[in-house]
Amino acid sequence: MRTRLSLALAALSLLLASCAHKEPEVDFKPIQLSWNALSEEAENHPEKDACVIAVTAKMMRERAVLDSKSEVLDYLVNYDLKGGILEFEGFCGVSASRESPECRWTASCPSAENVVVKFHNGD
Amino acid sequence: MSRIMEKIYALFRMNILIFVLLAATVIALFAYKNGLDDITFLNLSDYAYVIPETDSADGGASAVALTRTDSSIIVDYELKEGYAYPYAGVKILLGDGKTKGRDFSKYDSIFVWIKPRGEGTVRLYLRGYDADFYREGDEGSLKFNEIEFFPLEETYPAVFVPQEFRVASWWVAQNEINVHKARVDLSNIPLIEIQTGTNAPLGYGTLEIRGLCFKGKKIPWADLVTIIVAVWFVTFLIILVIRFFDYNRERAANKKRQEELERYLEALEIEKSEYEKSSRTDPLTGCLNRAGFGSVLLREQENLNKNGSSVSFVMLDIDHFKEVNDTYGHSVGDEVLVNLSKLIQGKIRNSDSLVRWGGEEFVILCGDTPIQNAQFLAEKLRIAIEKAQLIKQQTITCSFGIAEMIPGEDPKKLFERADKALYASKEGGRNRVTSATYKRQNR
Repeated sequence: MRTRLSLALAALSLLLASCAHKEPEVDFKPIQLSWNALSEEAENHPEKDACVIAVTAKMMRERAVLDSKSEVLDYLVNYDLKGGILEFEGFCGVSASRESPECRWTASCPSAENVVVKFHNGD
Repeated sequence: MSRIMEKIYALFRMNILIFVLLAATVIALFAYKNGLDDITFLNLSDYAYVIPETDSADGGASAVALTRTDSSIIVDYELKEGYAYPYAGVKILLGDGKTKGRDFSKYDSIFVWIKPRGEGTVRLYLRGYDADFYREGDEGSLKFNEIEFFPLEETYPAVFVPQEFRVASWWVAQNEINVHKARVDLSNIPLIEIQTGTNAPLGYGTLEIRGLCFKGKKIPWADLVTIIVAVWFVTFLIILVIRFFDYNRERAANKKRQEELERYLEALEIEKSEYEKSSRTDPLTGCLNRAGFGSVLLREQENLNKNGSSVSFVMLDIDHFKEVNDTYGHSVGDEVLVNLSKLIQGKIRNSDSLVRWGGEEFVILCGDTPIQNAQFLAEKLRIAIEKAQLIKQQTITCSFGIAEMIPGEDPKKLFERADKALYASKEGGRNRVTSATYKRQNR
């Protein structure tokens, strides 16, 4: 009888605990992006700012980035104009292992709405 | 009792004029009732212009003799046949005895002391002058205002009121007097006659006449009432005028007071607004301080929770600021802070808020801004600060930490994220932008 009562109390406690409002836990990853234009054309491209923002957004949502083992991801991002399209290439800085899948990626930005980011492992 | 007295005093103090007027009215009425008498007494014993008369003037044979005592006159007469209406009596001349007599119209009662020693009535004529029908030298043309009465045996006087007098009808008929003129008029009486009456028996008789008394009030009742009403009316008019001016004065004073109050209120509002502003802003840089940041944060939090509108934090810290202070002094440090805040203010939107978080640390709260845009802004600011010559002594750089607010999140967590990102920038070599990108995990 005592055992049943204990179990019932434990179940109730578990239920109440699960129903209690909890602050969402946030797992965040610090990312540094240093942008480097390889040509004047790329720097002055009218879509450059929008593309930089779009690529940043994409990067920040990439699972590879978010799941990275590195405490801080420090990217040097070179960009240039290739065939009228802004192409971005990112490399990890010294703080991360360059062999990690998230440490090398490329992105093309035909327009800010159509950015494609590819990591060197093909993701 | 004393409270009642106080109330009465307060009431009268407020209406002192009315109180005075009321008192004056009561005094006037009391004085009228108990005084203000106008008495004219004709004591015939020492009045010189008393002349005996009989019907001999009309062709009769009656005789009369007049003697004076200390207190009266004695008229001894003998009525004889001869004239159709034999009579005897006395004439009392007033004024010139013809045209200028005495005015008895203001008196309301006439007292006559006559003691007869014989039978029959006595006639009293108050002969009135009227220029319309007076004939020069003809005493008969004086109006006969008459009353005929049986004198009292006692010593009391016979008392009449003017309304009891009548104009003798035979005189009206003889002189063909217009009916409008045949009214009793006592305004100018040059002659009074006291005679034996119509049915006095022939033979001897005596009339002891002490005198006549006319009694009235110095002020007629109608005049008194008119004066009182007029005084009340004028007083109320004065009160009304005084109140009107008082009201105008009070209104002007109130208006002035109200204007003053409004000015004070306005000044207070300005002072309050300035105080509020100063309590919410950093005095050195003019940007918000932490206290001012609270309300902005609350507003953006509501926006996020209601509309899902992104809110990002850009936390920035001046690199090696302590060294700047130590090397060049605090005034240069202050210059850095001021110039930096000016530069940032010039590059952010009006909807963004720049907050001096403390020391050399600033926060930019960007409403409706996702993290990638905040990152972009921070990168722009970083480059701009690096390029700008904030002070002439050296180049100043800043490190940035970016975080985006999650709906329902405690702002402290957000600050922690931004702070850690900033720390990462510092650790990474400064003059960097680090974004605290996140993934949410529901446990």
